[in-house]
Amino acid sequence: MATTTDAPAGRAVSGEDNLFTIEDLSVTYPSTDGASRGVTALEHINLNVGKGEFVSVVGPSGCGKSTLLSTVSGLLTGFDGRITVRGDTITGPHPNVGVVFQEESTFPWRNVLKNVEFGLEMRGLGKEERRKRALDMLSLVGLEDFVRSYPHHLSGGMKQRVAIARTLVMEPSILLLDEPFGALDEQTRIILGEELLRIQRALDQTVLLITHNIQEAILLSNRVVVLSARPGRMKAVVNIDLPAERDSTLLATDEFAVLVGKVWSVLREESLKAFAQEQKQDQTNHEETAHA
Amino acid sequence: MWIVRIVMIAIFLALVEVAVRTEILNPFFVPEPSSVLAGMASSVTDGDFLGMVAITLGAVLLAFAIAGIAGVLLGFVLWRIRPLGDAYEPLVAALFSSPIVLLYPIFLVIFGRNSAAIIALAALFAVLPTILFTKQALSAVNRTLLNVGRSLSMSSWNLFRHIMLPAAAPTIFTGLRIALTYVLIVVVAMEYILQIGGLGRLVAESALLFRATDLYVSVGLIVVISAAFIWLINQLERLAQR
Repeated sequence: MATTTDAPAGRAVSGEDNLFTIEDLSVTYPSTDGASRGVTALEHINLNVGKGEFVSVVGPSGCGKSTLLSTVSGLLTGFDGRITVRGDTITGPHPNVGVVFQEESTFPWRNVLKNVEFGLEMRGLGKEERRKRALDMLSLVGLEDFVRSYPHHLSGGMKQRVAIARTLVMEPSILLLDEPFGALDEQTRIILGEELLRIQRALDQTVLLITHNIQEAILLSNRVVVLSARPGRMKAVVNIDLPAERDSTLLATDEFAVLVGKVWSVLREESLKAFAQEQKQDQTNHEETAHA
Repeated sequence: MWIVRIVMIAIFLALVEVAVRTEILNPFFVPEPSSVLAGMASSVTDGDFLGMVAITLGAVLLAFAIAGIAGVLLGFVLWRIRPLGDAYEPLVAALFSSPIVLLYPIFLVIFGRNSAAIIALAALFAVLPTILFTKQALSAVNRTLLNVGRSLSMSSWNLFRHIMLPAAAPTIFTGLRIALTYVLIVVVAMEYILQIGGLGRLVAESALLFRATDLYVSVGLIVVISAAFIWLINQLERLAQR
């Protein structure tokens, strides 16, 4: 870590301080042309997330945010370092880890209820039990009136809520969110963020959110991790000392602006680097094409 | 709404009936719909007619079953084994748009002048769209949906049965509907040309003898068979998406 803007998290978490840990995680993709040097996507990532904590990861585009999510969710194997959930080392998809993807992921051939029941059904839970749990979760996310609707009748924001409910109903120890509101308009995004916060508080859910939206990260989180330009290293960890009970009216406050400034001052530098990297890459590609 | 649909069709038939009776339409070419319907109704009790319906229905059913099963399996193989897919998909697509029906003399030589030749030709033609649509349907399944399954540690079989298959079903079944169309056309056309088998031959005979009512009764029965198969396909699709 090059700079740490604040001391490590001093917040009170109930019992499990190390519910989720990432120890010295590095990910290198093998080069496509078979040459010896691969592309390093992430380097020396260390993170501890306590029970009930909401941590966001922001970073410039191409910094390895999505790689981080694929690794932590167990979908990408072959990394250096160790990831644990409740003491279990992650070597592949794990029942304690729930993922909500950025892209639309509801099953169009299943209605809302059946979508939310999906994971429970695959795990062999009885019909009545899974129905009950799915209905409870649907009322928590505010979709109790759309139980029989099919996804194509729902708005983008509602579909994401279905996806979140489908993951939460599995009662994962940690919920991973990959830009879950990335495709939504700004207003919907803020409102759904508030909803997410309410749900997170209600379940005391541990959350790791990947996003490129600074406001969203600050509004929702206890801590914001800023990644550097590629290869992604932890550039800063900013503690968000906003009141636990919060909503989007905070966006207009001075303390919020100070936090945005704090995160952005680090992120700006890295984004400029990422931008320069991209241009250089474009230029190299251009020259290669010219030579060919 | 079933009622509305039936009423719409009934109105059209009533208009034709009036047009024929007032001789706006020449009854020599267009029979009264009422007599065609009566003919279709009485054909149900007519042994000869039923025999011919059975022959056509059997040929269509067999050819469609062969094309459907073989096509979905071959499409799966072309999707699963990439080099095979890369090599054969363009070839299948090219065959699909060529007039394979014209190969019928060869089929007559191989199978003889009988239903087997007709069934084989229809199945060969119909298997092509089934292969193409199955391969493309499986290739086009959204990776995110599969990742949902993988993040739930689902087995390969469950991933296939509960995500791949239902996600691909709409496109696969579009292929099967096209396959059905081809089977019907090839079977009836071959019966017509070769003067063997069921309803196609009846159409040819009726046309030759200027029996307009019988001609339309046969065509009407072919439409009924087609509708029954489409219904069957829709039921299968719902099953795949459960």
